[in-house]
Amino acid sequence: MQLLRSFWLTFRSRRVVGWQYVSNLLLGLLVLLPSFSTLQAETGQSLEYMNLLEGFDYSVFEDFMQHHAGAIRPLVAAGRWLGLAYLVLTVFFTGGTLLALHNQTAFHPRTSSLRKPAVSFGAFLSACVHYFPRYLRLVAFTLLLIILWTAFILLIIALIMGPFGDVLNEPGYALIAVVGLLLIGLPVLFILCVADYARILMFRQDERRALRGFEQGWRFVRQNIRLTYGNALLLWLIGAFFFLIYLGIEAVFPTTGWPTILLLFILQQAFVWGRVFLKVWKLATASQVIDRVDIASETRAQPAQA
Amino acid sequence: MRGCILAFLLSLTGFVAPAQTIFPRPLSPRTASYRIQVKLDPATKRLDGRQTLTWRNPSNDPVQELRFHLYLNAFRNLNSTFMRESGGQLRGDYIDKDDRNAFGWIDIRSMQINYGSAGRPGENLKPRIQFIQPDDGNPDDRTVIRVPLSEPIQPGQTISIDMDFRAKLPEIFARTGFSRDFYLIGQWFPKIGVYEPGKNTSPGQWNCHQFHAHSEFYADFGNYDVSITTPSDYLTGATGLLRSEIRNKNGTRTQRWQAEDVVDFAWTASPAYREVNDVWRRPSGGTVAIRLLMQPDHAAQAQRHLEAAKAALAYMHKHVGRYPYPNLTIVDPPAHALGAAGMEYPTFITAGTVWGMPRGVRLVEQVVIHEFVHQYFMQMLASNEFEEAWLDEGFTQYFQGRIMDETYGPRSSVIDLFGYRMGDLESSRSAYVHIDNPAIGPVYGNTWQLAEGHYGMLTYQKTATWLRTLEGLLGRPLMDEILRTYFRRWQFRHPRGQDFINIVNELAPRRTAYRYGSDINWFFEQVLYGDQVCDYELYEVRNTRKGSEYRSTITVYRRGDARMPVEVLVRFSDGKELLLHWDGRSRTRTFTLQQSAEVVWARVDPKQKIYMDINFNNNSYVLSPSSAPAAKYAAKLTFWVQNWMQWLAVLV
Repeated sequence: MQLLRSFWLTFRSRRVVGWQYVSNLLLGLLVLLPSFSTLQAETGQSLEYMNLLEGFDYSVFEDFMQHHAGAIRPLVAAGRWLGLAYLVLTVFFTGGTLLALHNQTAFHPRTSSLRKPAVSFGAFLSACVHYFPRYLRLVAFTLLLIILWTAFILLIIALIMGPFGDVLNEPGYALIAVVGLLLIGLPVLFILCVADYARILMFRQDERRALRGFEQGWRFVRQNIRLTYGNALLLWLIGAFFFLIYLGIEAVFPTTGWPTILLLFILQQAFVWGRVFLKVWKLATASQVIDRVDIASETRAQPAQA
Repeated sequence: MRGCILAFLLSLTGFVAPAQTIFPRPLSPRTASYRIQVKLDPATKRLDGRQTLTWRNPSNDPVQELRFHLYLNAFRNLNSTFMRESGGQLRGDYIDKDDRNAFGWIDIRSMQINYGSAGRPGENLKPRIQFIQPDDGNPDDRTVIRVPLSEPIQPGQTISIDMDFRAKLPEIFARTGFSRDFYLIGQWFPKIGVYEPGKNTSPGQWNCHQFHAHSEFYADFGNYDVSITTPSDYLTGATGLLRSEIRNKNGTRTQRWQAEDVVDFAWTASPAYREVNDVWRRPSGGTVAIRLLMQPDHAAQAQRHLEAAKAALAYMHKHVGRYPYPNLTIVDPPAHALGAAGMEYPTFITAGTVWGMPRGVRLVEQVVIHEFVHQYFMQMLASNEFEEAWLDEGFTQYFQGRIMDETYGPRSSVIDLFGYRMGDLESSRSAYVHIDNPAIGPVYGNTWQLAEGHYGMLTYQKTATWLRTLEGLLGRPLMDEILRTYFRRWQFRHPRGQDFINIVNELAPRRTAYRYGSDINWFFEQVLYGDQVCDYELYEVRNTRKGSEYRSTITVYRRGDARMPVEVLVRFSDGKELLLHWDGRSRTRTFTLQQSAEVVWARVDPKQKIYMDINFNNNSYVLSPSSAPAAKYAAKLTFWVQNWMQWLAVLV
């Protein structure tokens, strides 16, 4: 129910989703356009590349990479840097996104029919600029925690594998790998979930200190673990599920000519848009959860005041 | 007591009875035969052995000395030639230099020769043993010994030598040794070298090389009668057939194995094995028993092993010749002993897989097929792997590609997963043509002297690729005829590379109506003895209207220094096609055509006969190329960059 409500909230904030998607697409185009020109120039007058159209041809692909990898390398390098740029951009958008979500919810959570008008682009940008420094610090702290936790678990696994490495069978190794992944993955998702709640709490309380915000987020998530972490895990699973669906479709998608390539491109972009939507949905869910917990605590507090 | 009675009864019924034979008449010269009793001590990782070697002088010279391989001494210390060349690392396996138990060695404790003369006592040869280093003079290498004789062995004379030896197995390295309770025991006994008869007036000589990091073996054919004693809870597999078994009182058991007309003997023991048995029926009659010794973790992949083995048996039987042995044992090493994976011994091969190997990744099938094909190229055609490794590894790689591609699909035989596909022959080609410098050196030469770091590529992949090129030029039926002839003439002998070339030169010119000249030496000079690189490019197509007709020019470049005859296929706008021929010798060739239709595209080597061409993508030229492939891959690249951006953004 919570997720459904936040889904509609995200849907109502589709302009914000759109702006973030467009920023992703524009950065993507920085790769798409030069890579199309480069590939077109490098493939030249050869007929062989038609073998790559309908499926995959190992020899054609490997021959191409052997003789033209130098032309592709700068594009891949550009892609790497774009990732970093998009990370900063996403931090930048967080304040604006939270403002938009805040306006889509009620003035007071209990009267949800009252909504502020949709946030203007100017207000959106202004919120982005206002909150950027604090969220950048929060991301840096989150990243540090993730690195420390991952290193700690890897160290533990190494210590376990030392004495037991010689007695484990292959499923045993696989089990340790899976357990290790879970021991890294689940707490990392927890840290990311805490960071989401920290962002909202910092936004609502105009808290500038990232550590303080993270601490509040941690306390909130810990006290409402099912609602907070449970919903976040569910949304991660939805994202992973759609990613697998995409991989399956791409493996069998017949790209026989321009119309089908265009169709594939649309499918890819729909998937990318879906991921942006999912990201905003996650924030919207966190926002809704905080509202709900606030209402519950206020309701409990009222008789005492009377 | 009951054990003693049982042993006595068994001795009456067969254990020490005259050996049964496997073949009604010898298939090979049986120059060097061994009777060995060996005991494995799992606590110390040691072998205690006693062997009687029966050796016949196959030459016309009196032989003044004997030479033996002591392969396990390659792992004696870090100063052996093997360790110096490998740096203690082979195929990703590292020897633990700080662990004394990781090393291995072999010592001869006694050696006595019997000349076969009645009443003459045996002569102690132990004091005469000398370590020699015929390849590199490394005084620390103890992998070859020389034993001068007081009396020469006359041509045709048969002698026997009794030896006691003790060996310590290394921790699995270079295919042999132990890992936990798994044992793969190869190159383990003192093995006589090959005495090669002289030619014309030159005398014969011993061919007995040191053990090198990138060399395998060379041995004479013979019979083996080997009694192996292991703990009784160990399951054992070995070259040849199991003939008898007795359980000893001390918790061990002794199995007697027999093999005929083979060049080596290897065995394995482990308490963990699960045994799976199956049978392949020869189309010409008879059966081959297939015995899998599987790790319990890999039991789900047993069928994949069997299917691959049967596919290889059927293919080689059809295209090369008969596999005469009654059985084949396939050993599946555990993941902690993958250094023992992918090795060939007579009637006994090791495969290699890991738990959960996806069906779309056919590495299991690949290794089973490869190692089985070695039963032909190494075992029955017992070439010198020290000096001409290409003759066994390259031919095996070539047939591996053919069998894989025919059995599992030509463009997807090795990998077929999530839309990514890779065939076997094309993966061999890729390994050769995509190295930084395909002209790194010739394939021909002693393996330890091949271009640094390129032994595998030159002997396996480049050879497979030029064999596929030879097939492309001559056609598959003629190639098969050549290979069948080669097998028929040289099976159970020691062919040299020139023997194969002689057969090609004998059959190919006549069968191809001398299209490629009176011999094919020009091909081998480039691909085997030379380092020429092949690259033809269709450089340009032009059309000029001349009245009602078109004058078209098609220009082909020879970019590499290899010269191969090639075909050029031309497609016209009216759908007609024309095949042109070029000897491929000059640097450039321009074809001029006068036709009613203009040329739409042209392609040099349209059937990819010249499989060693390092760039297929420049083989064609189309006047109006489609940009759709560029668009598809640009979209894919963009999509993954967009995903990469979003993966990083999960931090926010």
